[in-house]
Amino acid sequence: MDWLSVLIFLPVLGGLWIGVIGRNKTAFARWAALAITSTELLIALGLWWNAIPNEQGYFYIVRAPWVPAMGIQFLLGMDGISLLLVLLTALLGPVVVLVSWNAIQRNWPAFAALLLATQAGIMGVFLALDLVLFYVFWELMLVPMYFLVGVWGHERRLYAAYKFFLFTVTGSLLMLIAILGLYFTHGEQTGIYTFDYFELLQVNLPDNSEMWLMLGFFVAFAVKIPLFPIHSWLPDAHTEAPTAGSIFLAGLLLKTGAYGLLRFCLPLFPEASTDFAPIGMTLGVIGILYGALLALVQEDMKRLIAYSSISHLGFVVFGIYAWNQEGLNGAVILMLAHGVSTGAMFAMVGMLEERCGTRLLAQLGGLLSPIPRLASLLLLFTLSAMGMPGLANFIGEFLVLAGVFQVSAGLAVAGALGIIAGVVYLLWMYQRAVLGEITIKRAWTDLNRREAVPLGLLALVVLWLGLYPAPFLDSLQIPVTAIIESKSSAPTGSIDALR
Amino acid sequence: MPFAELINLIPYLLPTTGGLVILMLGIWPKRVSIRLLSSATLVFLLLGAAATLLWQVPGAVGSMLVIDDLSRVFTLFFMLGAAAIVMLSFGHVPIRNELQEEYLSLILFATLGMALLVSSNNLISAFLGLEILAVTLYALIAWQPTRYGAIEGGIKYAVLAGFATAFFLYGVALVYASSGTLDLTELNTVASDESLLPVAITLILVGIGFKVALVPFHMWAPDIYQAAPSPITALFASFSKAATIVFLIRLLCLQLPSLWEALLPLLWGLALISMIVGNLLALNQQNLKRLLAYSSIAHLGYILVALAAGTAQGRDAAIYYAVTLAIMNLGAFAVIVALTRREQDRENLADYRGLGRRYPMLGLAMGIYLLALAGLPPTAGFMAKLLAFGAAVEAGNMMLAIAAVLNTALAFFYYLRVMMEFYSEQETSLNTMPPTQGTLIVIIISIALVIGLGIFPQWLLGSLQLP
Repeated sequence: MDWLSVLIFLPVLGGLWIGVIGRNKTAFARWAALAITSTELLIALGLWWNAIPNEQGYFYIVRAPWVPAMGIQFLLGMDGISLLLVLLTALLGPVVVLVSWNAIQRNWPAFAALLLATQAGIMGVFLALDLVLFYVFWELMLVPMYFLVGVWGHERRLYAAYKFFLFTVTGSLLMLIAILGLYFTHGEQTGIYTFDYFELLQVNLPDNSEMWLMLGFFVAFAVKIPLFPIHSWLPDAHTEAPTAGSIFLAGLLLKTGAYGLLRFCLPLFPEASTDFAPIGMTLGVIGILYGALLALVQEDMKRLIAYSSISHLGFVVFGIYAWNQEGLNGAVILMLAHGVSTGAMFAMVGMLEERCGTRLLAQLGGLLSPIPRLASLLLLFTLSAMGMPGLANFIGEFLVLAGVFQVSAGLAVAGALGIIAGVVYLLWMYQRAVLGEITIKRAWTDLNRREAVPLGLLALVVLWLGLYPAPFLDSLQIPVTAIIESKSSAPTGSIDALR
Repeated sequence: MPFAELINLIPYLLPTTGGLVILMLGIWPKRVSIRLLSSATLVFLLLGAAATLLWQVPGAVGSMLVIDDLSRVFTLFFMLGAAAIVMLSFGHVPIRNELQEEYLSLILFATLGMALLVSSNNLISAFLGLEILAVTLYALIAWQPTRYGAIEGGIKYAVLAGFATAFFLYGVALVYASSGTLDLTELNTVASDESLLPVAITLILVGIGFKVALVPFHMWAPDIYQAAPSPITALFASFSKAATIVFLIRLLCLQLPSLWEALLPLLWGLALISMIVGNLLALNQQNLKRLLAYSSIAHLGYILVALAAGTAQGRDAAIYYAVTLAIMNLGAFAVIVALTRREQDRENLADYRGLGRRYPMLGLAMGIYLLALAGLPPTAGFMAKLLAFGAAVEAGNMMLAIAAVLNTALAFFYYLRVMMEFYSEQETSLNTMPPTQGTLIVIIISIALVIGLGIFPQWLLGSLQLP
C-alpha cells in the first residue's frame, strides 16, 4: 500500500471530515484530531520500522503522472533525512492536539481542520520530489498556518499573520521563478521537460545562471529558516501565534527551510553552493550571535524562545554549509533536537500562561514549589536547549562545531560563543521564571495527565537523542554521503577563503 | 449556402432568435412570468452550447467566421457563462424585481457579440461583435436607472467605449489602407514589411486596451465595476474581457505572428505597468468591487506577461489564464450576489465583516476564489500563473517574470485583507437575503472548475489543438 500518500492525505481528509461534520462538536473534534494525528505517528513509526533503502538511499518512492504535458508528476520519496523529519512532524501532531485541548476555546473543529491541513502540507514538503509538487505543498502549508495565527493568536495576531505570510510568499515566489528557470534549462539541454528531482540533478548549468537559480531557492529557504536580514517575521509570528501555532512554526516550519537547503540547494547547484558556502556560514554565524544577543534582553518568554530559535537555526545553516559528514549529520540531528526541545518549551510556556495569565519574566517567579513537575520538566528542556551533554541539542551542536572546525576554526569559535550566550539567556530565563520568590498568589495546579503525556513523550525523545543517537545517525548515512558526493563532483573552490 | 455552414451558424442564430423571441414574449397580450422567460433564455443558451459540439472543426462560415478549437471552446464557455449570469440575475434581489424581457434579451445579444468576436476572421465581423457587446453592455450597466450611479456608469462606459471604438475603427481603416483587405488570413500573406500595418495594429491594440482596461486605459474600470449591478459586473469582468483577449490572441498570435514579434516591446511595457499600477491601486481599496476591478487590471498584466513571451507556450498560457480568470471573477461576483442586500449590493469591505463566520459555506467559497486569484496552489489561478511565468522565463524575459512574481506577492496583501474581513470577529449588522439555488449552483460549479482546472490543466489545454 502506498503509505506515503496516506501520510499526506489522511490529515487532509480527516481535517475536512472534522471541519464539515464537527460544527459545534468540540469534544468530537478534539478526539478525532487526536485519533488522526496518533494514526499518523503510528504510520510514520511503521514506515521507519520497515525501511529498506534502495541504492540511492530512498526507502519508498511513489510515482504517478499528474500533468504529463508539462512533465509534472506526483512524485514522493522518503530517504533518511525525510524519514527523520516526517517522524518529527508526526510526533508533534498529537502533542499539539493535546496541548491545545483546553487552550483553544473558540471553534475547535475549524482549529483542528487547519491544524491537520498544516500537518499535511508539511508532510508533503518533506516527501515531495517533483519540484512543482514541492512548491504546491510549500505554499499549501502557509494558508492554514496563516489562519491559525490570524484567528486564534494573541493581541497583534493580524499584523503577525500578514507579516509571516508576505515574507514567506515573496521568498517562495522567487523560488518558483528559479524552478521554472531550472526546468527550461534542463529541457533545452536534454529535450526532456520535467520537474523530476532525480532528472534535474543531472543538469549542467552555466555558471552565471546556476548562481542566480541557487539564489532563488536560497531566498525562499532563508526566509523560512530564518536567516539574519529576513528574520523579522519570526519573533512576531511566534509570539502572537497560539501555543499550537508556535510549536508548529518553531518545530516544523523552520525545518522546512533547512530541509530545502539540504534537499535542493546543495545537490542541485553544487558549484554555486560551494562558492556561496562562506557567505552561508557567515549568515549562519550572524544568526547565531544576533539571535542570542536579542534573546538576552527579552522580557516575554515566548519572544525569548523565538529569538533562541533564530540562534539554533543559525547552527543548522552553519552545519549545512560546512558540507562535511559531521556538519550535515549535526545539522539534521540539531533540527530534530530543536524541534523537540523548543516545541516542548513553547508548550510549557503556553501551560504557564494558562496558569498565571502572563508570559512576562518580570511578573513570574518562584514557580518551583507550587508546580514542581512542570518546573522540573521545563528545566530538562531548557538544559537540552542550551546544549547540556547527554541531552538532544548537545549532539547536534557538537557535531556541527566539529564539522565547521574542519573548514574554519575562527567561525567555529564564533559559533561556540553563541552556545555560551545560549547558556546565559536560557539559565537567566529559567531563574527569573521558576526560581526566587513567588510573586503570584493563587491556587496552583500542577501538570495533569493530559499535559504530562505529551511532555513525557518529548522528554523521552530528548533523552534518546542525547544518549543514543546512533539509530538516527544510521539512517542519515546514505543521504548525507550523497550530498557530500555532490560537492566533490564539483571543483572545490573558495571554501578555504575563511580558513 | 452549404448545409455544413448552416450547422456552423446555429450557435450564432440561437441567441439571435432567442433574443427576439424573448422580446416578442414581452409584448404578448397575456403576461408571461419572469420565471418562464428566464427558463426560455437558459434553454436557448444551453442549446447554443450544445450546438457548438456539432461543429466540424476546422471550418468556416464564408470568410467572415472561422470555426476552430479556439472558437468552439470559447463559444461554449460564453454560452454557459451567460447562463450563469442569468441564474445570478435571478438570484440577485435588487435586479430580480426589475428583471424584464429586455434584460434577458440583452444578455442573449451580448452572448452573440462575444461568440462573434472570438470566431471572427475578418476585422469587420470582429467590429460587429465588439459593438454588439458594447451596446448591450451600456444598457445593462444602466439597468434600474433610478439606482444611484446607474446612469452615470452607463454614460461613462458609453463615452469611453466610444473612444475605444474610434481607435479600433481607425486601426481597421489603416489596415485596409495599407493592405487592401480586412480578411485576417489574407492580411498575413500581404506584404508584411508594410510600415503602416504595425501602426494600424497598435491602434487596434489601444482599442482593445480600453475594452479590457489595461493601464493606461483603465480609468473607467473601477467606476463601472462599482456602478453596475453585480451580475452585470460579472458579465463584463469575466466574459467580455475574455472574449476581447481571445480576439487579440487570434489577431496577433494566430494570424499575424510577424507583427506579434514586432509588438513584443509594447506588450512588455503594457504588462509591466498594468501589473504594477493595478496592484498598487488595489492595495488600499476599501470597496470590494473596485478592489476586484483593480485586481483584474493586474491580472490582465499577467496575461500580457504570457503574450509578451512571443511563443506558442505564451499564447496557450494566455488562453488558459483568460478562462481561469473569468471563472474566478465569476465566482467572486457570485458570492457578492449571494450576499447582496434587499435594495443594493454591499459596497465597502466593512459591510462584509464577519460574514464568513455567519455563512461558512459562502465564506469558504470566497476564500477559495480569493486564494485562486492570488495564485495559490492547487487552484487554477496557480496553474495559470505557472504557465504564464513559465512562458516568460522560457522566452528569457527574466526581468518581467521577476516583476510579475513580486507583484503576485504584493497582491497577496489585499486578497488576504478581504479574507480577514470575511472572517473578522465583529459582525456587520447588515442583513442578508438567503441566496437562491441558482446562485449556489453557479458558486459550486465554479469552485469545482477552479480546483479541477488547477489540478488537471490538461482538460483545457488538451482541448485546444492550435498550430
